[in-house]
Amino acid sequence: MPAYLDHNATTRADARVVEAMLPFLSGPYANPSSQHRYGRAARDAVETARAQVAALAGADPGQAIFTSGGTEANNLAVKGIAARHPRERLLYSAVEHPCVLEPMKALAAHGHAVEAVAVDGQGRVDLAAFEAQLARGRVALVSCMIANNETGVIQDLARIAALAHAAGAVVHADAVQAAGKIPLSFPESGAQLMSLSSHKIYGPKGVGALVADRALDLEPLLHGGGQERGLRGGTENVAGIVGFGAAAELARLELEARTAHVLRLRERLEAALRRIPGIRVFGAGAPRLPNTVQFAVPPVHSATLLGLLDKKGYAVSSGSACASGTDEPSHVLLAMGVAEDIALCAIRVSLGKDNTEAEADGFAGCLRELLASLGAAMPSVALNA
Amino acid sequence: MIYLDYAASTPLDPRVLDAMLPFLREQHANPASDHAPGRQARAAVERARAQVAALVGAEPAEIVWTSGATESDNLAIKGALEFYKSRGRHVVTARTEHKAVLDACRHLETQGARVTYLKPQPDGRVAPEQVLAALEPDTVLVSLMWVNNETGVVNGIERLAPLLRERGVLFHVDAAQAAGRVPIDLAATPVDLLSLSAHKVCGPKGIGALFVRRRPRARLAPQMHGGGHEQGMRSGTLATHQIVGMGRAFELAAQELAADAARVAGLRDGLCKRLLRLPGTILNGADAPRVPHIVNLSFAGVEGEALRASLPDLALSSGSACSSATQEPSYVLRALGRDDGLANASLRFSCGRFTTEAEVAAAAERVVRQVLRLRAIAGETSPSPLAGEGEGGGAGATAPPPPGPLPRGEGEFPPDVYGYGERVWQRFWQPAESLLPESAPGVFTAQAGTPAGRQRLRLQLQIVDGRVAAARFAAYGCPTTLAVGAWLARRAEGRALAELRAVNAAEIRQALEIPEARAHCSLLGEDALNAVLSAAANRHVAATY
Repeated sequence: MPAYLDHNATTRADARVVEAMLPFLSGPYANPSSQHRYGRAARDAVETARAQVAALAGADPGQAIFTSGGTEANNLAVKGIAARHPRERLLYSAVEHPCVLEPMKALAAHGHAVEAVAVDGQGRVDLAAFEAQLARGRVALVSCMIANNETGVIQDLARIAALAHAAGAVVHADAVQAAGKIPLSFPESGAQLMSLSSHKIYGPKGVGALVADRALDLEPLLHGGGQERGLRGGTENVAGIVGFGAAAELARLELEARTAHVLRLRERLEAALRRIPGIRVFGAGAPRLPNTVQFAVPPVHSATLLGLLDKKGYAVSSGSACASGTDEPSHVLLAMGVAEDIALCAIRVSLGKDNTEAEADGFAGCLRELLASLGAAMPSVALNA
Repeated sequence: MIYLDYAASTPLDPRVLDAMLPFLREQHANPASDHAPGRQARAAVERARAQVAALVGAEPAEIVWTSGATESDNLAIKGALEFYKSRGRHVVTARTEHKAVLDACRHLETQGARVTYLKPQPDGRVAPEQVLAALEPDTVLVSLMWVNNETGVVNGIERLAPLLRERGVLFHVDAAQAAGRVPIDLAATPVDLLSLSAHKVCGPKGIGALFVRRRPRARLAPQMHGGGHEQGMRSGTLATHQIVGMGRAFELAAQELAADAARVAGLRDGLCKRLLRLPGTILNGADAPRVPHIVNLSFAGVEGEALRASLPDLALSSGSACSSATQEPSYVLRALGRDDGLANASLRFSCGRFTTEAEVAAAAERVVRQVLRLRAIAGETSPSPLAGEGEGGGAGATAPPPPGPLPRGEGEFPPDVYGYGERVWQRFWQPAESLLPESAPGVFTAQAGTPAGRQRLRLQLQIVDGRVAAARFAAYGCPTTLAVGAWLARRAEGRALAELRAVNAAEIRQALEIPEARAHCSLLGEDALNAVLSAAANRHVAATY
C-alpha cells in the first residue's frame, strides 16, 4: 500500500486551497502594484491573505512580509539583522535548518562572529550553556527554531527568548515546521522575527512569510520595486499568496482536529515501532511535534531502508529533504550526541492530516518485514534479540 | 474593462494552467526528496528547465530557478560583485534600468562599490560606445536591459556582448520584457547572466530564472543560502507547479513568438494610428527599434493623474507598475528628455496574446475622448507647446472633431476605482464648460496656480448688480483640482459678492470632503476665488471714482 509519509518535506495543497487560488490563476491577472482596477483587486487579495497568515501566528497583518518561502524568510531574518549589527555576535541553535545554518556560515565568511548553541541529548537547547554564552559579549541575534524538522523536538522558546532579551538580543524563531502543528503566538513567543512556509501547511510551494516586529531595522534581501514595505522587492506571487492565506486559515481553524488525528496515528505507529528490537527513537524524551517520529534501526543504513521502502511505495525520508542525496549524517543528530554510525541509520516519518490508520499500520508492517529480510541477509543484525 | 498592461503582468495562458494543476494537486512531492514521488517532481522540474533554456538558446544546466526577475537581477548583480570582489568594485548600468537593477546597484554603493548610471541617448537606447567609454580598469559587471519596460525600446545587446567579452567584463542582461518578444540566442550572444520572468510571458507570478553561463563559466556568490539547491546558487524548496508553468509558458512562447509578434504589432500599429491623429501626442522612443507589444505615448496639455483617472475601465499603466505606487514622473521618460509634466501625462499601452482588435479600438477611442475633454476643461482648445514637436505626433495629421457635450464614458459617470471621495469623483466627471467671452459686460477672470505649473485654476464671474449672473471655470491639474473648479463655479452662480467673500478653503474642503493630503487643492480654489473677487472689486472701484 503506497503512502506519503513525508509531510515535513512538503504537503499536498488542500483542495480548498487550490480552489481559492484558481480565480487568481485564471481570472484577475494584474500586478498588485498596478493602479488600475485589476491591480487593486490583486492588492486586496494579497492583503486578505496577509491577515490570514498573520492570524495563524497570532500576529498583526502589518507584521507579515511575504517571501518566496521559508528559506528566504530565514535568510532575510538572519542577514537582515546581521547587516545592521556587523560587530555583534549571532547565535543559533546547533539543530537549525540549513537555511539558517548556511546564512550563518556565509556571514562568518564575511567577518561576522557566529556561534552555535549546544543542545542536549534530546535536542533541546542547553539553557545553562546558552546563558553562559550570552554573558560572553554583545549578541545581536539568537535564531532558534520552534520545532525541529527532523526529530520534531519542540524548544522551550519562551525561556530561550527571555534569556536572549535579558542579554539585549533580537530573537528569530523558525516556525516553518511548527506552524499548523502546534499553536503559535507571535506576541507571546518572545520572538521578534518568525519564519513561516506555505507548503508545509497544505498550501502551495514558492511562498512563505517573515513575521517581523515593525520596530526592527531589517536590511532587505531583494532590492527593487519597494514591495512589502520596501523589505522585499519583486512582483507578488498573487495566487501563491492567496493559497498561503487560505492554507493558514484552514490550519488555524482545523489545528485541534489535525493535531489529534496525527498524534493518534503517531502513537499507534510508535507503539508498533517500539516492538522492533534495537530501534532507537530520537528526541523521545522531549516534547515533540504530534506528527513526527525519527528513528534508527542500526546498523541498517537509511539509504538501504529508504530505497526498499520507496520500492514498496512508502515515501519517507532520512531527515531534511534539502540534504537528500548526500551521505552525510544528520547534523541535528550529531548535535544531540548521537554516534555517526547510528545517525546514518535515521528514518523520519512525518504524518499528515490525510494519512490513515491503515497507512500507518501498513508502514509499520512493511518496515518489520523489510528488517526481517535484511536480518536474514545480514546475520549480524540481531533482530530477534 | 480592457486589459492593456501586459508589460506589468500577463494573463496566465489556460494551457499553462493545465500544465500546472497536476503539480498543485496530485504530484505534490518535494523535488529534492529521494523517493518515487520526489523523483517525478524532479523530472518535471528538469523538463521545464530544458523548455526555458530552449527559448533563449541556452543549455538546461545554465538555468537557475528564482522567485522572479527581481531575484534574478539581485542574484546576478550582487552575486557577481561579491564573487569577483578581488577583480574590482565598479559596475556600469543605465538610468533607464528596472528598479530591481537600480536598487541592487544602490545597495552595492552602500557597500563600497562604484556604479556608473548611463543616460540613454535621445532615442532611448544605450549605445555600445557609451558603455565601452564608461568602463574602468576595475569594472566587474555591465548590467543593461534587453528591452526597456516603459518604452519598449530595444538595446543593441547583440552588438555590445562580444565587445564586453573581448574586454573580460561580465555582462548581465535583464531580459524580463524581451523573452518571448524578440529572438534571443545565447549560443550566439556572449551574455554571461540573463534574467527571465514567467509572468511577463503568460506564465505564473512568483517564478523566474537566471541564466548563468557555463562556458566560460560565470561565477556567483549565492544570495539565498540553505539546502544547496540549484547547484548551490539558490537554496529553497523548488515550487514545482510554478516551474512547470514557466516551462510550458516558455515552450508556448517559442512556438508562437513569430505569430504573436506579427499579430501584436498589428494591434500596436492600429492603436498608434488612432492616437497619433490627436495633436500633441508624442510617441516615446519613436526613433529606436521597439518591441511590438509596448507603446508609450505622452499627451501634451493634460495632467497625468487626471488622465489616468479619466480612464477607469482601461487597465494600463503610466510606466512601470513597480513605481506606480510612488506616482513619481517616470525616470525613463525624463531620461528621454521629457519634462516632468509630459513624463507624467504618459500612458504605456501593452498588449499581448489575448488582446483583440476591438479592445484596442475601444481603448483608443476612449483615450482620445478623455484627452480632448481634459484639454477642454483646461481651457486649451489647441494644446500649445507641442504641435509638430513630437517625434511622430501632430504634424499633418487630421485633428478629430472637438468633444461633444459630455464624453463621460457610457452614460453615468463610471465607478471610482482610484479611491477619490464620492463628491470629488462626481464633480471631476462634470463636462467642460465654454468660457464666457471676455468682452461681455461684467465678466471678470482671474487665475491661481502653483509655481511649477502642475495645477492651474481659472475662474470667470459675470457680475450683474452685485450678484454673479454666470460663473465658469477652467482647470488643469489632478481630479481634485478639477472638482474644486466645478464646485466653485456652481457655488458662485446666483450669489451676492458679499456672500462669496466668505467662501474659503475650509468650506471647499468640507463641501467636497477633500482629504488632508489634497488640502492644497482647496487652497488653490480659495486663491482663485479671491483673485477674481478682487479683480471685480478693483474694477468696480475704478468705475465708481
